Amino acid sequence: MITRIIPRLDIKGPNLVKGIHLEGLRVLGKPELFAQYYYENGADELIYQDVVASLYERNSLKEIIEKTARNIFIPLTVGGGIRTLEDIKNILRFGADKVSINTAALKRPEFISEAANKFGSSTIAVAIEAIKHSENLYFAFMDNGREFTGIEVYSWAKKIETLGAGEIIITSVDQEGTRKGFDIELISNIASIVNIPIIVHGGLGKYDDTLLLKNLNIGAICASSVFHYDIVSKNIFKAIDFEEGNYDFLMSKSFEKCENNFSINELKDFMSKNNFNIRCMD
Amino acid sequence: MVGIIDYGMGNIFSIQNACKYVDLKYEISFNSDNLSKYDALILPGVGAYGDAIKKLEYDGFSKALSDFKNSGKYILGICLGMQLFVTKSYEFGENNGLNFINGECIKFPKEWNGNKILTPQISWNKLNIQIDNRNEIFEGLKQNEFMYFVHSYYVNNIDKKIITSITNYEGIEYCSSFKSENIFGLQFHPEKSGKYGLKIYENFKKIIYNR
Repeated sequence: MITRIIPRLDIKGPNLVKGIHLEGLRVLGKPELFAQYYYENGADELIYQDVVASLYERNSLKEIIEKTARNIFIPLTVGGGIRTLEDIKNILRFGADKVSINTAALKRPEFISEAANKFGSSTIAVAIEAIKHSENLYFAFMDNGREFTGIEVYSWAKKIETLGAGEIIITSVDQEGTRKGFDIELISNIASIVNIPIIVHGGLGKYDDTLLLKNLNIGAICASSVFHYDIVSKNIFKAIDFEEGNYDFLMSKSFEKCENNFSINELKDFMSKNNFNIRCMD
Repeated sequence: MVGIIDYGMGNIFSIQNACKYVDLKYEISFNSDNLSKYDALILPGVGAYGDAIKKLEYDGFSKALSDFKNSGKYILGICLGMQLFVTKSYEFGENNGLNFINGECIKFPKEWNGNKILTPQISWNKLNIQIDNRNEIFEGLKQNEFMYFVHSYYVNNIDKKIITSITNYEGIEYCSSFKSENIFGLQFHPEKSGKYGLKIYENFKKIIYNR
């Protein structure tokens, strides 16, 4: 199976942001510019995550999705604040191909089957934000890792599949933004439990991190920091204007100290040489 | 003008964006009464086979599509749209299709040669373009070009002479596209397959208007 490489773009208002452990957000630029660059440079899909939508009950992604869908011809998954079938319908109408649901699914699991029945399983991805409690015990969190649910992750993953979701996006909140590698225990257990593709997210920091995923039968690797900072540190977009948000970080140029970034194509070259099945572009 | 059939199954927005990109004039067709005004049709589709065929029947599209086919103008079926062209499907029981093409839809097995098969296949995968049946729809694509696939069922028992590409998912080799007279079927989503997917839309436009 081909392992897809998917950049995840966390979006707050009009801006692309990035935090650590899903907190401490820094503004990095305009999401649609990054998206276009990723599309032209090896991304197999894109994920947009509205990081504040479910907290402040707002959906501000419309304009960004529309701009993206007009020019980008790879699948786009959109998540954040999706609570109703009407929300899904709207997001698909703006131009997304799939949606990712977390909080609404945890609050009412039947929402997964209702959505899958209406829009097709493959349109519905369920995101799990997992935090490790103790050896082999993980709990699912809501609202970008802020709210504890008491729901155990492995049985939840199985239930998500049974309810008809097409994919699972598994985020290790502990690893997310740290670049310390994937949580292999979490990933390998979920991969062995379910028969639908899983997208693994949280912790990619260096090429070698991917090697541990080799025989786990995962569908995709999702990352943000390494790819975003590669673009930022290369100054690929010169003219960046900001409408809101904290961009002190960007102005301070402290990202130049962020080393060991790499592009999607560089990662794909490495993985391809290490016998992963990868879609390489000419 | 191309008619994109909207019978409530699946996402037609990306198909519209692809048509816009290659400057292929289109209209969304909710109505089966007046299909003959179109130069060609696109039949999209995501979701369950039985629901889709019921909707096509109910909205009068089954008969209208059959008339359109008999007029000799081109119809392009994408994903579930392709599958609807064949005789029947075993998705949630047995459902008859439009029967433009002999064949049936079956599900990927749970296991193949001892390996777990993930379904749906949600992935990029290669087109092994069948040289003997090569036609203009794949003009400009190299052998083993990647396309984006999303499906749990695939068409089987298809006349080899109409198969235009074969794809291998976890060891299972299946028909990923066919062409029979004026009927094109694509199991993958060209509108989601980057620049070579767009090339297929461009080719389809050429096929319609340069005949």
